[in-house]
Amino acid sequence: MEPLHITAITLVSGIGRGMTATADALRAEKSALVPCAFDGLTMDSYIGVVPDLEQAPVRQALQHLDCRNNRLAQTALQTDSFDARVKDAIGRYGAGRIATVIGTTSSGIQEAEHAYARRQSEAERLTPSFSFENSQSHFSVTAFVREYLGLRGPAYTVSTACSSSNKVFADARQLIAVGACDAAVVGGVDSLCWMSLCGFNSLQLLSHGPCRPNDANRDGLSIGEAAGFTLLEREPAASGGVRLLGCGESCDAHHMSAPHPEGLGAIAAMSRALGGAGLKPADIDYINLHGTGTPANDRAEDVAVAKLFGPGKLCSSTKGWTGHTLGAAGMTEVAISVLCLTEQFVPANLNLTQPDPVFQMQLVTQTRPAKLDAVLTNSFGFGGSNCAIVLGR
Amino acid sequence: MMQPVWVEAIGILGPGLEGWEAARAVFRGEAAYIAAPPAIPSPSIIPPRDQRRCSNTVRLALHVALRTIQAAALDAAATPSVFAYSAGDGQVVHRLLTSLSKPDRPVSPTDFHNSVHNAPAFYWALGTGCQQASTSISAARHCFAAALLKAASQCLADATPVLMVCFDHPLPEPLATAYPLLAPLAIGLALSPERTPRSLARLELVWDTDRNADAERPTVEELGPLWSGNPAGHGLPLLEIIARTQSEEIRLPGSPDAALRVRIACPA
Repeated sequence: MEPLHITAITLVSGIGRGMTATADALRAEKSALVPCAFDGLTMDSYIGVVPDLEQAPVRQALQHLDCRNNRLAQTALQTDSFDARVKDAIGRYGAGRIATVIGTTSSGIQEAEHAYARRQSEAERLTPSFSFENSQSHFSVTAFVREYLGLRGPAYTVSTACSSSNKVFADARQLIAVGACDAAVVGGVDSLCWMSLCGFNSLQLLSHGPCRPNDANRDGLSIGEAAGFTLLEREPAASGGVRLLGCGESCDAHHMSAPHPEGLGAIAAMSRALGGAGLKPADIDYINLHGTGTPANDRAEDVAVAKLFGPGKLCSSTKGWTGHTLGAAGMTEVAISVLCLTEQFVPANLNLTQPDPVFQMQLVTQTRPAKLDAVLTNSFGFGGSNCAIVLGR
Repeated sequence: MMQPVWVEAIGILGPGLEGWEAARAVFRGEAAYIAAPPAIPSPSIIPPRDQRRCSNTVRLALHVALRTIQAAALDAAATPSVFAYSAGDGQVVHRLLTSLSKPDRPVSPTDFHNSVHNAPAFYWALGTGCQQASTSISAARHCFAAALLKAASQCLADATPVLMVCFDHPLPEPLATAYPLLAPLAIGLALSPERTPRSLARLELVWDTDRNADAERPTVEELGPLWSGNPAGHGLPLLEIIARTQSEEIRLPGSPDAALRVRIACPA
């Protein structure tokens, strides 16, 4: 593929607001994970929370779209001068030539959860203040981002579970390559809600303590929330920026909530991403893993990485910091990978005391400087939806 | 200006529109339009064990996906796919929201994993063995234009046929009052980056931000309520033109402030 330049980027997650705060937390090995107490729900698990969203309503003109998910989106849009960078891009291309493609899994479904909980009986209607289209609809977050930024190009939400905001990069690649737009704002936004917490709990996939990806004693994932965005263009903003080199997508066609045991779908996605980038496995200096911390995910991912890259590839999962931010996980880890490339370091695989003895990859045990030219980041979702991204300097 | 793509086959299931051949007769004015609710068959590609788990939404999407890919004579396992719908899976999400409103929040694990927006895409991949790229998108009331633009972009960028299915099934109450949909409707298109002997029409797409231009409604007046009552209905004017083997330019609603302009050349 023709490389695209990341000309603006921002991330807000439990570990910090903005790229600098995120890098600082990664260097300080400071995790966001805290015992789960959210919106009246306590559980024997840990979560990564973005603080103070309750006090940060969306701006007046977009009040109809107010919900936790869009508050989180707004916080990110106001960080790292992201909105100002997009305004500059509108000046270059025109608002109608910039696409908006955002990944989410639960969007603003918290509003529906509250509307259902307020009913006295199951025969009752939902409160008239509940708007499906402005909150629960998967498109709500994309509508919010597009209107906040004043964009008028093509827009849609990608919702493929936990691969959603890796796949948006493939959308930008296609839309720009064929001339459907000149630039694209892509990203991911997913906020905590009862549905995600209780849903993963019902599948017995939640860890009891902070998640321990790739550890021999890992016992599940910790859920987090995050919002992040990138502006993708053909032309660089400055020299030395990070470029999107390749995207690879695949389906497992195997099981709804378990990965293919031999990682076949993951191998296909990573191979296609390498193919798109025109790189060989040896060219990848570091892999930011999907690494959720469930026994099955991490095992299958190790098998896939070893099969494609051979044993000893330098890898880490950063979900011990942020938690698994679901539909925002792809974007969260693209942002972390961009930091790795610009600041030349690899982040530790947090909460790793005893690496799984059967694993063949080399796990980063301590955040440390590293010379990186190309990195790969994986996201795999329910329904066997896989996506890998290759980024380079 | 994007390069053209070709429509290789069309699938449709909706009220009074059961299959492309029957719908074609309605679009051509050769048969009267009678808006009877459609029967939604269980797709044969789903193993019996999973059929029970498949909601009406999944069955609607998969039935039309299968008809479209068969009519295009494409290998389902080798064809990337785009699934677009706005409402989510109402039966599943309503059960989850009801459970979450109870004191112990007794969520069904099966409902939770079936609630992901890519559940239809998962059952499609499972049933066809397809490991190619597949995505699941939403653009609220503007799903049809978004799906067509996404599928055409993928088709051209990756030089591959692409299957797209745009569909929506009405939600149960109390969600139905909050987001009313008239009737179940699914439209499938098989797109090709090059003309083949099978090609039905040639499409050229342009994103158009002219605020003063209205989107075209179906010519068959009785289809008006379906056009506005289900996001997939926005595809009806495109299908009418192809059914009548005409060449025309139409606008599909793309957002509150833009449209997807489609120049249709038919026969291709």
